[in-house]
Amino acid sequence: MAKKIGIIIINLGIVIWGIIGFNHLNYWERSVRIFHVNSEQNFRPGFDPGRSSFDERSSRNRTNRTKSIAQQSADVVQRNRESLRERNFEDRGHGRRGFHSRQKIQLRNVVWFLAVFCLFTVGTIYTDKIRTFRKKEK
Amino acid sequence: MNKIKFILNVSLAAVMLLLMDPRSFYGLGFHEWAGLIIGLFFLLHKALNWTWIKKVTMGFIKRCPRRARLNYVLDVLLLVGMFLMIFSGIAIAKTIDFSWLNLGGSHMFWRVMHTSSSYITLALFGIHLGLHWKWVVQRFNFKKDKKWQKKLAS
Ligand code: HEM
Ligand code: HEM
Repeated sequence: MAKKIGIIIINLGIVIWGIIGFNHLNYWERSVRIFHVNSEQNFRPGFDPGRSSFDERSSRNRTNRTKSIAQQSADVVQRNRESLRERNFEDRGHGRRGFHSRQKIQLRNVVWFLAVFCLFTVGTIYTDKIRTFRKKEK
Repeated sequence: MNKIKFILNVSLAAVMLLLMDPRSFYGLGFHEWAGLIIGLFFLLHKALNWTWIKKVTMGFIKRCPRRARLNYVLDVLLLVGMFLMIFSGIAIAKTIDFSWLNLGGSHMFWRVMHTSSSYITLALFGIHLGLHWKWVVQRFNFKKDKKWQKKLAS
């Protein structure tokens, strides 16, 4: 019994941790973002070569992105701008999160991804259990 | 064999999580190389489960358990997700030069594709692991556990 309660508490903890991670990472919005992009409008033939340094490219990409965003519907514009701002802030604002950072290992976000991964695993295990349990009852 | 499979699966999950944040572990260079290499290891994962794939593909047209069918559909989705992740990763690569591939399409499209496909696929990985949880529990040898034995007996 004690073991069962322990397992339930651990699983509840994982679920709560996972839900917090899910929200923290903006998981849903980022997962479905691709379905909001009008691929035809954004498609331009050719992939320009000669982009070398990270900084140079990312600044150009930002202008590219702004152009294509302008063609999209209003709410998509808003959403993309928000996430863009958020990312630029992340990249530039906190120097240590940039690619040129001196600190090489930074696992904070990875832990949030782990939380979401565990959430889906635990969710599936229990859905599966409930399903087999119901089948047996029938 | 199961031990190899287990170690492979744990490492796959760990590397996958590290890849989810390109800034987390030795920067973008690591991300791009590891992303490419992990593709090979997924193929190895596939090869090690080859008997299963062969059996179910043969049985898919005929009758096969609903669960196996669910797993199969999920596995195909995982594979598609993996392909999209690596393909779009190549299209937006910065430290490795893939411009000679001339993939076309805007950077923004591939970038969003890369993000969405990796987020969706990570969720699918969670479900995939949940559906194989029995196998994982067996690896930990919970059979020695008395309660587990009782459960098996009942
Ligand atoms: C591209 C991604 C992946 C694909 C296409 C894939 C596909 C498969 C296939 C075809 C099987 C055979 C059995 C079945 O589905 O019922 C399998 C088994 C399994 N996979 Fe994956 N897999 C992937 C990633 C992963 C990852 C990241 C993990 C670990 C977290 C994992 C853990 C497992 C486990 C534990 C089994 C059971 C092994 C067994 O029964 O011998 N898989 N996978
Ligand atoms: C299974 C493998 C991979 C996974 C799970 C993965 C996952 C991710 C994730 C989650 C991001 C962050 C996206 C965002 O914040 O919007 C990202 C960014 C990125 N990935 Fe991957 N990726 C993989 C493979 C690759 C490969 C093979 C390459 C290139 C050869 C690559 C190149 C990039 C680049 C250039 C970025 C953009 C970094 C930035 O500017 O912020 N990825 N990846």
